Amino acid sequence: MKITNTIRISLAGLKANKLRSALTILGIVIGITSIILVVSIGNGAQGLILGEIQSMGSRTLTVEPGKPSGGLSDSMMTFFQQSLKENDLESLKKKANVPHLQSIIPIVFTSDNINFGNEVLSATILGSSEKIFDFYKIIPAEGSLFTEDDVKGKTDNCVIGSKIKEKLFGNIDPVGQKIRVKNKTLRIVGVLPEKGGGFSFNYNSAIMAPYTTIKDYVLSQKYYNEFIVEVDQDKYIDQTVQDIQITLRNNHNITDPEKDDFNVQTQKDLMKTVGTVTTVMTLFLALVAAISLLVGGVGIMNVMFISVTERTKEIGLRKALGATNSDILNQFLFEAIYLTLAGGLLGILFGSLFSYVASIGLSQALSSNWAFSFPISAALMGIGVSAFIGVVFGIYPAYSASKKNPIEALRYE
Amino acid sequence: MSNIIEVKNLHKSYIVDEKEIPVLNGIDFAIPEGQFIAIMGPSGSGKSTLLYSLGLLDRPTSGHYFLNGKETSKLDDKKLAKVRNEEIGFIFQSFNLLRRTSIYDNVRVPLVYSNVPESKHKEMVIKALESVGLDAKLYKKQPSQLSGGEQQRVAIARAIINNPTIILADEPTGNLDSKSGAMVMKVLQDLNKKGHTIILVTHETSTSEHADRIIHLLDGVIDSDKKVANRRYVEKEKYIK
Ligand SMILES: Nc1ncnc2c1ncn2[C@@H]1O[C@H](COP(=O)(O)OP(=O)(O)OP(=O)(O)O)[C@@H](O)[C@H]1O
Ligand SMILES: [Mg+2]
Repeated sequence: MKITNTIRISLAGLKANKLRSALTILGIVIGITSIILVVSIGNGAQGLILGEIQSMGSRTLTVEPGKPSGGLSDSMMTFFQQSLKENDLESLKKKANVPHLQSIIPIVFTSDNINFGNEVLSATILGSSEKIFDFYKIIPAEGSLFTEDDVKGKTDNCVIGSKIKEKLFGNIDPVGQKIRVKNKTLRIVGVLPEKGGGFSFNYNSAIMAPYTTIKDYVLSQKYYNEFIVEVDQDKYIDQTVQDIQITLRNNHNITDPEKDDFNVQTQKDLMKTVGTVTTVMTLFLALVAAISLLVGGVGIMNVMFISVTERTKEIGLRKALGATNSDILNQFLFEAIYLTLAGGLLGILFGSLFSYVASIGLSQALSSNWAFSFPISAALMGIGVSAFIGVVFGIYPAYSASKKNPIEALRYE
Repeated sequence: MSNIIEVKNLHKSYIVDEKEIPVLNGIDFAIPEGQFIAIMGPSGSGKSTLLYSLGLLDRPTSGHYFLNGKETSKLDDKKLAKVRNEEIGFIFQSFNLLRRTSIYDNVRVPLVYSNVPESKHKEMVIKALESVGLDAKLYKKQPSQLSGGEQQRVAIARAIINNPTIILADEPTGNLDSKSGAMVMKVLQDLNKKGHTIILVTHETSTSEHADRIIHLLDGVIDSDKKVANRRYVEKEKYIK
């Protein structure tokens, strides 16, 4: 029998039970919709994060305490957390050690309460050199920023994020006001601009001050939490990573790189890590969504069995009129495939629609440019998977239909 | 005249719960081409089973069945389907039309399973409908919109659309009133006149007398096999639309 006839007969069979057909594919629709949604949002998030990392410049390296791969006990971890010391900073700054280091921003940070009068607020307290403002391209919204002289002179000048201003000061002009952190007093010289959403450092709820002040005066700690290093030229990135490693190993008396108590990350590393993490997350969520496909498939199988039983007499009749076993098998298999394909196409439609709406919503919520991209690969996969489910869950009912004895089928009431 | 059908020592039993239930216990007969045969017998005597076996819907348990001189037990499932499609037309007591499917699509089911090009379907459906005395305009309707007699004639149109040599009818008038039944018998007699071999299962003696030979079954064997002395014909006047 010609394929067009099989298609026509199968479609007629579905049309005869419109409501049931529609309800049957619901599981598939929901499954494909959620997969498309998850993959699309996952891709969007990944694009956004990677974009931000890239915007920080490819010549940026970060040096952090701790073993590159982690996996240490807590006490060891704490010890390693304090591995970046003053002499490390001095050594790294020396041209003889790291010739292509253009600049280095030492970072200390913590989270603590800050007080203004009787008001208390929890905030991120970040100490750095004034170069951080260039790094994040920050222009003050009010007042000024702290300067190189502030860093050198360990002054108590600090700047605050927009959220802090709003919550702690309300209508009062914060510039010139004094706040207390860990019982030390800092003087506000400026307010940072409001930062849109995103995944890099959000300084809206932070106060920033010279690292010298924060490290020695406020926190009295002997170590740094991070160094941000700028390499002078792209081609020296790898060499600079090595120079930093050699310098720090030398300072820390480390001979076996396996025992490093610090790690140097390039933007490439970071992007790779972020890429892997978001991909794994996306795949995991898509897998969860795929479970509903499985449930949908079982539903289709169930309905196909009901349909085969209901139409036993039709099967007997068709065989009496010349249908072969494979004609009958194809008829029911195609019915199942149409159902799942229709479900898949609807799922792609809804999934794309929802992720488009979500991308608009997220763009506004994060006030960033969340790009919507139609997840072509997920859509193609959705079509493939739904057809596959049709075959997998349709073949057994269709086979049982084709094997019916025509005489018994004709006698069936 | 050559024998279109020949059965020799045909046995058929069903297996129910691993027990063999014999239904046909050695049937022998030959049917020349163009004959009109009525099969009679009490309920459960195996009439339908014999008819379905002749229609190649199932294989006999043992014995021989020659169709057009060819032993059918050697045919595989695909060939059997082809023979059912091209050589045999089935008519059932309960019409067996597909619900929610137009008359047109019902009548052309056998064409769909043969290789008749789609472009010829309409013409053939109309011809078949007209040859059973139905208005060709009915073809867009659904079975539920027709009377029982009309539905059975649609079923006959379906049975003959591929121009089969043999027509097998299992109590085709069983669900019809006498007038509709007479119309159906008239159609069958007309088809017989055109050369189709007809095998009709019936309970009613009066119906069986429209055939030219009556085979009587009893407990799965032939009890009697006689020519009809006074064959009845449905007169033109009775054939009212
Ligand atoms: N698929 C089957 N499985 C088991 N037994 C069957 C099957 N089909 C028919 N039978 C049995 O075979 C016997 C003959 O059945 P068949 O339908 O051929 O009789 P029949 O002469 O056509 O009867 P009726 O006049 O009532 O239609 C019956 O006893 C019936 O119960
Ligand atoms: Mg019967």
